[in-house]
Amino acid sequence: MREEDLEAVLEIESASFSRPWTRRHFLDEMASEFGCPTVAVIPDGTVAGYLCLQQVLDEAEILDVAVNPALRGRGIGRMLVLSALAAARDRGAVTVSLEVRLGNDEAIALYQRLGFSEIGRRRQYYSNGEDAILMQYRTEDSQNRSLLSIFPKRQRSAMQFKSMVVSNVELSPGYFRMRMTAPNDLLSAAPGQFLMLKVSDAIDPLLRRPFGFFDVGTFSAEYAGGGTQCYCEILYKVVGKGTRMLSALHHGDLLDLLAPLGKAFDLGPPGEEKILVGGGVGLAPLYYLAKELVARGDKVRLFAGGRNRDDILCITEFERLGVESYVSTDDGTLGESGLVTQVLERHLASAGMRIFACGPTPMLKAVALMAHGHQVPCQVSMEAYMACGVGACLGCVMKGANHSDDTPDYRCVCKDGPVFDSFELQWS
Amino acid sequence: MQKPDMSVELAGIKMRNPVMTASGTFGYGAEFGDYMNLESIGAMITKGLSLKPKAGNPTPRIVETPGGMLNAIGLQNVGVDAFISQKLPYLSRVATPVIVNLYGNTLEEYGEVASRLDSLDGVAGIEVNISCPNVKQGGIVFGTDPLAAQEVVRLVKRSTSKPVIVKLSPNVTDVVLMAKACADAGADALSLINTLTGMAIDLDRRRPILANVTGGLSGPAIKPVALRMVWQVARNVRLPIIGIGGIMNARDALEFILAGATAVQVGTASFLDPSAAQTIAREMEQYLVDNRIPSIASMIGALEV
Repeated sequence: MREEDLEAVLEIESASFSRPWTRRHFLDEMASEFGCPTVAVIPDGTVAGYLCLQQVLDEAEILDVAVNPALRGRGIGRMLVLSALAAARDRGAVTVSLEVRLGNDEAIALYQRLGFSEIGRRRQYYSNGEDAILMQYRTEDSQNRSLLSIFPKRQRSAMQFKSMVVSNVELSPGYFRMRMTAPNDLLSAAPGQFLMLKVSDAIDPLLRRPFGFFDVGTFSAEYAGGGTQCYCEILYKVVGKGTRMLSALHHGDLLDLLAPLGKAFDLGPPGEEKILVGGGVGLAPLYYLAKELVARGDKVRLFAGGRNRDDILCITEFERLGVESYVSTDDGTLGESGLVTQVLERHLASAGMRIFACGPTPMLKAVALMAHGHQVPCQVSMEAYMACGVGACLGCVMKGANHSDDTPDYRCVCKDGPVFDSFELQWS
Repeated sequence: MQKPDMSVELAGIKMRNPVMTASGTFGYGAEFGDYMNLESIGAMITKGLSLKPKAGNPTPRIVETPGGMLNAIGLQNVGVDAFISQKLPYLSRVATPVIVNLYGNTLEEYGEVASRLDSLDGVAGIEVNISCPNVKQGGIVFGTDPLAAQEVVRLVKRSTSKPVIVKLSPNVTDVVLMAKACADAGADALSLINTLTGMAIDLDRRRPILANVTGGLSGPAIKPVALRMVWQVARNVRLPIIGIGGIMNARDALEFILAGATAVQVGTASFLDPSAAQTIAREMEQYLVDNRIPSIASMIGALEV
């Protein structure tokens, strides 16, 4: 909310309440370190509504919310409340509360749909003698979490930290799985995000290397000496000097990490069937994703492909989660013979599914186009050369769907991705 | 001991310390706001701006080389109008001078971009890129021909009242000749060096690695060349110099100061560590403390030959 908005806000306020807030109220909210007044504006610049959220430590409260009378019934109030809930969640709120008039059935129904429940009443709270219902929302309820998934959780900015190699195991020829210690804050890393790792302090190799999270978790209490100790894992294939040096590291070696980076997968509504498609190290982010999806109770199926059996990694780990897996290899040395996309096509229905894919770009393109054909929502996790991981070098760009030379629309894999909705990118 | 005086003044721009960020390695500043205190460095130089938004080159655009990296981004940028409306408001809230790097595809465009920035309070100065090696009809011509460079510098000077820094290309036979030409045309300061043109080849595929075939080499690999050029120009041209090229730490930065630079720009190092510029500024100060040097100004050009 800015001062320029106040005229319009005050007009809506007086049209909405018998005892409207004054300009002073709003100015105080704007100045308060606990306040977070937000305005919704429609494309022509009209103020459509506003919401005043206040938060002290882990308790947030919606103090005031109103929608422009000319624009009611379009879901603007719902969006205002949802975005306030997401903001409160991102700032660490455990509860969000509000008061609503007993007679305001419409608002009460909306709040209930959004996950609020009644926790008390204030008798004759309003000037006309009407009761106030006290409602509360808990950010940690799983149902509430999924409703807010349209607002991807704003991750804390990446941390730079030293990490100790715990294990570094060759899974199949050329493929390694490495576990490293991490600060406990890394537990906020979401599936699809990645880390940038400096293999050595020397200037060759100079740049960090990006890796998706294969897993993030905490060591058992015995290992961590009774405390909590977070770890993260990556899968990598030895392809050049950097990964060759990485493969030579042992327990106790130190690495410099920057994490978590990038945009995570949008898990979508619970209950939908989730289809994971990947191959080789593309399976890495899908495993962390599968863990989270299974924990939510979603049905998950994995389509894993590769040139030969060596490219099919960690299938047992997926299966241990309860994920049903379909394996295919180009040469038939494991699973079906053929491309992963051919197997996928046979199992693709149209409704109630969501695809998550990670792997070589030609595979992602095939999956994206197939998903478009079947009208299945699809997210792809892209790989690209990058120098910085924070959106500065512009080395890792992909063409956005509406890109042309005259109206450039480049997306940074590091910052706008690595996870993209398949419609965001240009596949031709 | 008192804290050493780290402040420097460059063409009228007062900076709390000599550490600046190099254009093209620091986005529009906001990209780094989460990682470092933007008010801990001397100045920020933004990604090279053109009159119209520019798409840049196809990928691959970057490749690592021993001790360095090649880039051929192709000056992808949002264009001057979007910069003013979308990027500058954030930067203006930061109490650190903002210097806008700009380039033109034609002589006229240089003047046009400079004049659009002239009235903006949030812009402390202009850095003119006459040397980007990746645009076919663009910079390199101005950057390697002293007469063409002079034309650009004169036009930009006429188009703005702000201090004008000219960024020089190392891809010339005689950098001192270019430096003198720009000084004669009215440049207020010089920054050097931009990247060295190079290339990388994929032997097995028998193809260049960069889609643009050639690219600009940056990183520690170019530091010796950059030091030499800064030293040569400093001895021959009476303009403040900003040293650039492979600065990874405070010692690297101080070497440039000794060679004659008034300030330095940190570039590729910000890719490895998004808070590199801040760290370098802090550690430079520590070096002065440890060695009982009262001011950074006393080290400028203090190389004993």
